[in-house]
Amino acid sequence: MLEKIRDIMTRYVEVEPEEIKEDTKLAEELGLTSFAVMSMMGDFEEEFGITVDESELTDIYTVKDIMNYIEKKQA
Amino acid sequence: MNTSELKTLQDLVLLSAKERPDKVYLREKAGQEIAEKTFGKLAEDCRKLASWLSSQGEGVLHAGLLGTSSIAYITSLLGITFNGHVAVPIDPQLSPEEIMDNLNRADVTVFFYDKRFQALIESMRSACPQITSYVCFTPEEGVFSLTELLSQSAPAEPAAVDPHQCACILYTSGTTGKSKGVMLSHANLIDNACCCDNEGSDSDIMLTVLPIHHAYCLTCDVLLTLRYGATLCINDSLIRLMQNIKLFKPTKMLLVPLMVETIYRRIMAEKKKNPLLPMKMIGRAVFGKDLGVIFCGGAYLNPDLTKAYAKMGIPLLQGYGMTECSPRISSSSLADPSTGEDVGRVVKNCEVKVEDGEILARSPSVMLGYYKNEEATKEMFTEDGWLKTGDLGYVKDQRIYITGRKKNLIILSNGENISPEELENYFAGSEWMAEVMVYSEEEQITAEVYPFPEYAGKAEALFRKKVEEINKKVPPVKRILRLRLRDKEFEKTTSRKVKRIQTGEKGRLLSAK
Repeated sequence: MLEKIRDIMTRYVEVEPEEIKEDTKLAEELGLTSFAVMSMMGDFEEEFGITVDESELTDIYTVKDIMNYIEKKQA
Repeated sequence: MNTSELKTLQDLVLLSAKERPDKVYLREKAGQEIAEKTFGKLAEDCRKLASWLSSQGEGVLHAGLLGTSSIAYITSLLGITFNGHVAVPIDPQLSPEEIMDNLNRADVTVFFYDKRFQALIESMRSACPQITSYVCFTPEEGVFSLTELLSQSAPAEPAAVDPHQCACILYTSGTTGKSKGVMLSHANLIDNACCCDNEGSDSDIMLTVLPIHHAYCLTCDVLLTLRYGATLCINDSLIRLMQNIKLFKPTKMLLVPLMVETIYRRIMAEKKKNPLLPMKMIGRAVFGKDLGVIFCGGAYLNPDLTKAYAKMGIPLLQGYGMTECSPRISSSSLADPSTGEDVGRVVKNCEVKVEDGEILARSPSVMLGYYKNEEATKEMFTEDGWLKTGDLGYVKDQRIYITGRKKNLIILSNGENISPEELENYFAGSEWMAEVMVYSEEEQITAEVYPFPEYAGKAEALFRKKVEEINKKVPPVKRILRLRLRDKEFEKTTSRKVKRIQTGEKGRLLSAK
């Protein structure tokens, strides 16, 4: 899953995929704006076949949070 | 539409219904279906809402709205203003305390809300005792909803509305922390919706993307589509913007620079994978073949983006304004495009001049003032009544060029205005920190801190922890994305205040761990 997430994330930030780790912080370390995070979640919806609820995104700070979120939605 | 007949928002609703009663005005996703509302139905619902409101209290009522764009939201907003009551749209991203504070300061007594705020209502009953009526936008078990309201109310007769009375109170960031309620009259909003000729037609399909509590969205999405008899489709979430573009096939969109830039970055990442694909084809694949133009405003737009979008076959047209001016001061059109360097031509009825480098404006679109804040209102105007925009720039051939900001306000590329003091205040009480300054660097909110020398060793960890704490408290758009730590005091003015513009070296940038 991390692989796919990295692939989508590199559409929004110019970093090498390997630099994106589970504990990487979206805002403080990658400089992702809230709009970029939302657009990215739209891509995850298509990639993983989930429906993202905008109000749940306030608790997402790290790559790991994204992974947990997707897993929860897929369950 | 003969715009000389338009004086109030009521005129706009009634005239659009008279001209095209059966044409679809609003369109949104409703589960797997698409829900629609015609101009005729809108006028009928506005009259019903006006009739219900007249039973909710004496005189002019202030009605708050909390939620994101929807058919129900737009119907409520236009219904509130129809017979002269005042609509107060609230930013749904604010904390519960700020939401309630904004409602109290605007003397709201009737409240329309999205069901996801249902949990807030209980605490509001004690924190906002003046609110006596609550209306949920959608039907929910055990609560009064807009659907019920409309089904039990008979349409009211249109009442006489003074064009110069307040129609909306829109909150905007102040430079000193607390937001201010901008009072816009019917005449202000009508003037701004009619300040350009030939900028739309009834074949337009607009997708509304920007937050509805912003003046740019209210005037240029909601009111302009009414004026031209066009159709307004609702983007239900920024998460699904790209999908909704494919679904609704808009011909026009209003975006802020941040969106334009993010979408472009994503496109270029795809282009890297398929370098041979022509930009025009990529543009069509992303935006659909119908999109003819994107209007962009609210913040600085990099001219390179205008050129990049032109390569995709999509003109990016820039405008300029502020909430206090309903909001447009300048605008551009396909027939008279901005070059990328300027922010468009001064709109009809608006006068612009430059004094001490600052752009001043005077027009029928200029606000009545800030609600219950005479002091702040006075500060916004020169003695002879010109609105001080706080922007530095110049005017050439009626085109406006912006060169900088006079006031201490961060304007992010998403159009959000952020007061640095507001974020700096969150650092108060940090015993390790001597000085802090918040500013924007490369479009990112940056906090730079000077710790007390005895904490120098621990400062980085304490700083990171503090920022994490702050970022959990503030809405996502206000999060601090960059951290700088300095080992020297900030430069000071003679009165020992930290200088906002520092000429010396910046603090060390704390990189990703």
